Amino acid sequence: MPLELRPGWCLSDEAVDQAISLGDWIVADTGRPALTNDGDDWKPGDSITMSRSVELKSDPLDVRRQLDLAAGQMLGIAARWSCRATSTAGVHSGGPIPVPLADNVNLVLDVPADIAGSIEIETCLVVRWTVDDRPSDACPDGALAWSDGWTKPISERTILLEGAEARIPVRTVSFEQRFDEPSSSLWAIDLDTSIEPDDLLANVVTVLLNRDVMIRDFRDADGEPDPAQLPPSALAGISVDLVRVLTSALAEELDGDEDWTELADGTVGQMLVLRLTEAFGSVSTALADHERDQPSFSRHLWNRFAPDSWRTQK
Amino acid sequence: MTRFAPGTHFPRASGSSTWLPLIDVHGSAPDSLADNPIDLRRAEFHPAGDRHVSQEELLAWRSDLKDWAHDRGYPSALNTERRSAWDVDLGTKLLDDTAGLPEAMHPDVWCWIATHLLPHFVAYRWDWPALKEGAPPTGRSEWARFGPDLRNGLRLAMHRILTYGPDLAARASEQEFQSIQNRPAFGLNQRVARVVMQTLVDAYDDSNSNYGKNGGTRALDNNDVCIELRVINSLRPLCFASDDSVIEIVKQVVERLPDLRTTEGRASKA
Repeated sequence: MPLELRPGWCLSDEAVDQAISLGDWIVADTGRPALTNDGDDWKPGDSITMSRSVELKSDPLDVRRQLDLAAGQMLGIAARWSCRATSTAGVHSGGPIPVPLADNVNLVLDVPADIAGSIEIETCLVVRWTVDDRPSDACPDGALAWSDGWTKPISERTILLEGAEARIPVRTVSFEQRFDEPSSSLWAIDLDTSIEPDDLLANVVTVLLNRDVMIRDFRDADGEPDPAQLPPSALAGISVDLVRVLTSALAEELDGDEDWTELADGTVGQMLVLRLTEAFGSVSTALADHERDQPSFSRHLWNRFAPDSWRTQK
Repeated sequence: MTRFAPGTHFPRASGSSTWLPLIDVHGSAPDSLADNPIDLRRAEFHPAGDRHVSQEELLAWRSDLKDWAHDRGYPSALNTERRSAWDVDLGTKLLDDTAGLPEAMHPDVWCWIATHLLPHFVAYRWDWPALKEGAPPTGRSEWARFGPDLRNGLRLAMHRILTYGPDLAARASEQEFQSIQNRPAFGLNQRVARVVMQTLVDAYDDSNSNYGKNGGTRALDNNDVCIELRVINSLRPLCFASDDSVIEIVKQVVERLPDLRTTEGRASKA
C-alpha cells in the first residue's frame, strides 16, 4: 500500500472522477489524440496547440458538495507542460491563473516552437479562495488539490515529438515539376551521386513521393497528401527499391575487404550490409546474385520485405 | 535577426559519445581550434529539414564570431567581471544569430556546434575538463560543457539571456543562476524563474533585506531560498500563481532566512 504523504486538502482520483469528466488531449491541427503522436507528427519549428474538454458531471452546486468545498473556496482547473530537452515550460492559455471550475470548459495548451524530443503535460485542480477570512487550518490560496501526475505514470503524459535519428527523409514533390514530364510513379529514390559507405543515410538518400499520385489516391480530409495511408505493399516496394539502388551504387566498394558492420549506426554501409545479410545470408551471396541474376536478386529482396498481406483494404 | 535563411536546419550530435572528437584536442589553446575542420556529410540532420546549412555558411559564421570575440578581448584571460560580461554578450549574440530557426533551441544542435564548430568558445569560458590520471577524461558528465543538456557552455549563455534578459542576467551571480536552474520543478518555467531572480537580486540591493546580509552570504542564502521554494512549489505550484503572488512568496521566504539558515544548514549536515 503506497504511503500517503499528501495534505488533507488533496482530492482522490475517485472524487475527481465522480465530479468531472476529462477528455483526451486533442491536437488542434490533426484532431487526433496528442498522446498517440509519434516521431513523424512533428518537425522542428512547429508549435503545437492542443485542448482537452472538462465537463462537470452534475450541476456546479452538486460538484461543490461532492468535492467538499468550504464557503468561499472554489476550484480552478489548470494545465502545465514542460520540455526537458530545451529547458522550457509553460501553462494553459489564459494562465497562469487557473480557469474557474464553474462550468464546462475547454483547457488549451499553446506550446511554442522552442521544443524538442518530447513534452510532458499535467492537468491540475488548484484551490482558490474568494474570501480573506478563511479558516485557520484551511489550505493556502493556490494550493494543489489534485493532479493527474500523481497517479498517471509519466509515460502516459508524455507527447513524443522526435523519433529515432537517422531516418531516411521522405519528401512529397510533384514529379511532373521535378522531372519535367507527367508520371504515374508513386515513388523515386533520390541518391547523392558521390555516396560513400560511411555517409549517414539520412544525409544522402531521400525517398520522393509523387505529389500528383498522392493527391489522387492518398489524400487526407483536407485534400493534402497523407503518407500514412500508403499500403504495406507500397512501403515494401520502396524498401526493395532502396536496397537495390544502394547495392548498384556501391557494388564495387562492397566487393572490397572492409567490414562495413563496423561503421557507425545510421551509415549507408552498415544499413546495406545488415539488409543484404538478412535477405541473402551473406554480402558475398548478395553480390554474386546482383552481378549474375538480377531477377533472383530482386526476388530475394522481396522475400525479405514482402508485407504480411498484399490485400488492399477498400 | 538571424543570419541564416528561414527554415535552415543545423547538424546534430546525439548519443553517449558526442565528446569523442574532443579527446584529441583536449588542452589546446582555444584560439588554435578556431579553424578546426568540420564535416557535414557525416553529421546528422533532422529528416524533415528541407534546407540544410552549408559548410560555407557555418565557416563564415565562425569567422564572423571570431572577429566579434576579438573585439571583446578574446582570447585574453577572463576575470570574474569579464566572465559575466562575456556570458551576457555571447548569449545575446548567439540568440540574435540563430533567432527564428526551427532548431534554435535544440540541444543536439548545440551539442554539435559546441563540439565541432565552436569548441574554442566553450574551452575559453569553461576551460577543458580536468585530466584523469594524466589523460583527458572520458564520459558524458566530464564533457557536459560540450554536451546536449543545459550545462553546455553555449546553451547556458543563451538560456540565461532568454530567461532573464541581459540586464537581469548581468546582475545575477553564477550561484544564483545555478540554484534556480537546478530546481526544474519551478525553474523550467521562464516566467517564474525570471520573477524569482528579479526579486532576489532586488533583495540583495535592498539594505533592509536579509538576503545575502545579516549573517548570510548571497550564494548560501540563494540555495536556502530555492530549497524552500521547491517545497512550496510542490504544494502550491508557482507556475499557476501571478507575478505578484510569486514575488510575495519569495519575499516571505527571504524574511524567514535567519531561521532557514539554521534549519537548512542542519538538514544538509544531517
